[in-house]
Order: sequence, then structure tokens, then C-alpha cells
Amino acid sequence: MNKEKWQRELNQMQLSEIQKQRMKQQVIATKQMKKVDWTYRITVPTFIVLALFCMYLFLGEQMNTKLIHQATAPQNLEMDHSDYFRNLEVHFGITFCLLIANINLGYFVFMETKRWQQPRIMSLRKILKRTQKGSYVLLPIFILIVLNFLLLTNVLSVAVLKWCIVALLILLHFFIILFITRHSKMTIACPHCQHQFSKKERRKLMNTILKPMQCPNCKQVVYYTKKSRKLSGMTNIINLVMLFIIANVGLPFLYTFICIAVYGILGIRKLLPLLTELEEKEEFLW
Amino acid sequence: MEIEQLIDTYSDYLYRIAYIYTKDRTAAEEVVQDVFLIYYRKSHQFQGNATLKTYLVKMTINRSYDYLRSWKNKKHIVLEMIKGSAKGVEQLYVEKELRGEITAAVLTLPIKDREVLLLYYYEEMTLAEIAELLELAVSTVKSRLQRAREKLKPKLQMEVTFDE
Repeated sequence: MNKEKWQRELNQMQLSEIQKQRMKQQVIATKQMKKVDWTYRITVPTFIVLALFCMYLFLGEQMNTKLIHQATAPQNLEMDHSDYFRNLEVHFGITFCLLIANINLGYFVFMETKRWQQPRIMSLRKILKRTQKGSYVLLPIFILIVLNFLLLTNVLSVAVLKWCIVALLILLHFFIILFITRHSKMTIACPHCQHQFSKKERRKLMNTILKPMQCPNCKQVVYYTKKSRKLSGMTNIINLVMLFIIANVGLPFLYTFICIAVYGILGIRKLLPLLTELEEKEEFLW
Repeated sequence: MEIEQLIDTYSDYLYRIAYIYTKDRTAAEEVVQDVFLIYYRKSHQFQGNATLKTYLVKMTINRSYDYLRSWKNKKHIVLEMIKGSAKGVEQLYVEKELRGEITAAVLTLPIKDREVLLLYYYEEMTLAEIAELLELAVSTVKSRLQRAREKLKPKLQMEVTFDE
């Protein structure tokens, strides 16, 4: 075997300057990425707390069932079960809070972990990033529900059941909004002059109802696209249905009012701009 | 030594080693990058018992083995078997040309033979050094080297006759 020839052959194999530069950048970037570790430091303990709590619930449930069985014995018929139901509600409330915390932290971990660079994950992240603003709309609702759980722990378990349904519906609503806003461009541009609308201009545009909409740059009349109108209409209907359900679930009036206000303000301010696309001519909806 | 200086000095060298192990340029680049990443994070663990170059070479060998064991590599191999090579004919030809005939012949050998040849002929290590680095007995290294040479001989002769 010709040693020198092989060495010569191998020595020709080199990394290009671009590859080296990229390598340096990646190595240095990971040093800064260490800051991201907080997601794990919070998520893992939260998940462990949830798991422990579920274990406690499971064990506690068995003990409570024994209690109920004892209560059905003739000598214990007078025993009050309200404590059992109250405990059940408190447990349910805490589990719900922990679940929401876990979902949110899971989302952060998914978005922030720089190590996961597979194309499928990257495309999913892009979709989630586009719809991030839409998800903010629902965050206050989640908080409201959690607050209600904590406040209404002395209500009967039927109410808790209702709340479960509402929570599931809100979760469903969240995913519908994610689905609707998945292709949004995050910016509104004039079809005539390609002027990008600023935040203030966007807000003004959203508040224009009766007058024809105008581009602030070229002063030309602009219209919503057919797709944009359909999407925003659909979102509004879903929001209204959700509000109807929340209003009829037996919440105190104040909470219903807050829900409506939150939906109204954040829906118009944050969600609709995501669905807005403009064009030069008005199209018929059907 | 600063990490940037370290990359400038050793990246090409480690890249060649990783390439002989992984047989893939992209994978070799990834391996080298990982080596520097790990070194950058854990440089305090380097006690100075061996030279920095040996330390990095050992890390590259370990990372290359990790890559070969990984699902990513296995998936890649299975997909290539099913679909055929993802690389075009031109790209394959250019790669073959870039490799050189001896490297191409060495790459056809099993990994155990390849690594011994690489360390002995390219890195010019002694048998004892190779044995220490790979945690093997000197006699094992010697027999592997002998076996690798025997396997390589007909391949290189064949290439020469084809060239003629």
C-alpha cells in the first residue's frame, strides 16, 4: 500500500471556508443557547408534580371509595358526602391548572429547543409561530376558567362536569383557531402600492365598518379578499358559539362579561388582522 | 486555545477521520461539529494526560461510532436500500473522483479494518498507541492490520489493472 499516495489523497479532502465559518457560528451559538435550559428546568418539575398529584389522586380515590362504602352501611347512613365532593372538585381544579401549565411549557420547549432541526419539526414550528398571536386570544379565557375552578370549588360536581365540557370546547376552539390562522402572513399589504400597514394603520382598518377602506399611503380604495371574509366570518361564528356556551354554563355574570370583553377586544385587535388580506376589486362572496 | 483557532487547526484533520468512519461527507461534517461542540462545553474535563490532538481524535472516533449506531444512519441505509441512492449519478461520480482510488478501496473494508489502517498509515501511530487508543491488545491490532492489508491488496491491484 502506497502510504504517501493515500496521505496525499486524504489531505485533499478539506472543509471549505464556508463550512468552517458555519461550524464556528454553530459552536458559539450553542454556548448562548444554554440560557434556554430554563424550559426543561421548569417543565420537568411541573410534570413530576402533575404525575405525583395524579398518583395521590388515584390513591386518595381508593380511600374515598372505601369511605363511601362505609357510608352506605346502615350505621353510617347519616354521613355527609359533601366533603368528598368538595375534595373531588379541588383535586380536579388543581389537575386542570397543572395540565394547562404543562401544555404551555410543552409548547415553549417545542418552540425553543434549537437541537430539533428536522424539516418536519421546523415546518410545524413555522405554522405555530404564525398562529402564535391567535393563541393569545384564548390565554385569558384559560386563566378565567382556572380562576373559576378555584372560586367555585364548593359547587356540586354537576357544575364541575359542565366545566369539563367547557374546557374541552375551549381546547377544541383553540385548535380550530390554530387551523384557521395557520397560513396567515402576519402582515397586511396594500394591493396597489405594496405598502405594509403599521400596527396603528391596521387597527384603523379593522375599525372601518361603513366607509370604504383606504390605503393610508396611496389613498386608493381596498377591499377584503373573498377568502379573508370567509375566514373571519367563520371565526366570528365560532367565537359567538363559544360565548353562548360560556354564558349558559352557570357562571356569575361578571365572568361572562369579562369573557365577552376579552373575546371582543382581542378577537378584533389580534385575531382578525391575522386573517386579513386585501385586494383591488371587490369580489362577490358567493 | 480559542475555539475558533481550534476549529481552524484541527477541523480538516478530524473531518478526514470522521469520513473514513462514516463514509459520508455530510455526516462527517456533523460529527466534527459535534466534537467541537462537546469540547467547547466540556473543555474543563480535559486533564492534559494526552495531547489535545489525540483527545480530539478519540472524541471523533467515539462520535463516529455513535453516528453509525444511530437511528438516523440506520434509517438512511434502509432508505438507500429501498429507494436507491438519493445522490445523482453525477454527484456520485464527482465524489468517487474526489475520494481517490486508495481511499475508495479502504472504504469498502469493514470499519474495524478501516480504523486500524487509518491510524497506522495516515496518523502514523505505533501499534502500541493504536492499541491504547482503541482499548485493544497489541496483538489484536497487529492481526487486524494484517487482515486489512490482505483484503486491500486485491482491490488495489484490480484498480491498477483497470487503469492500465
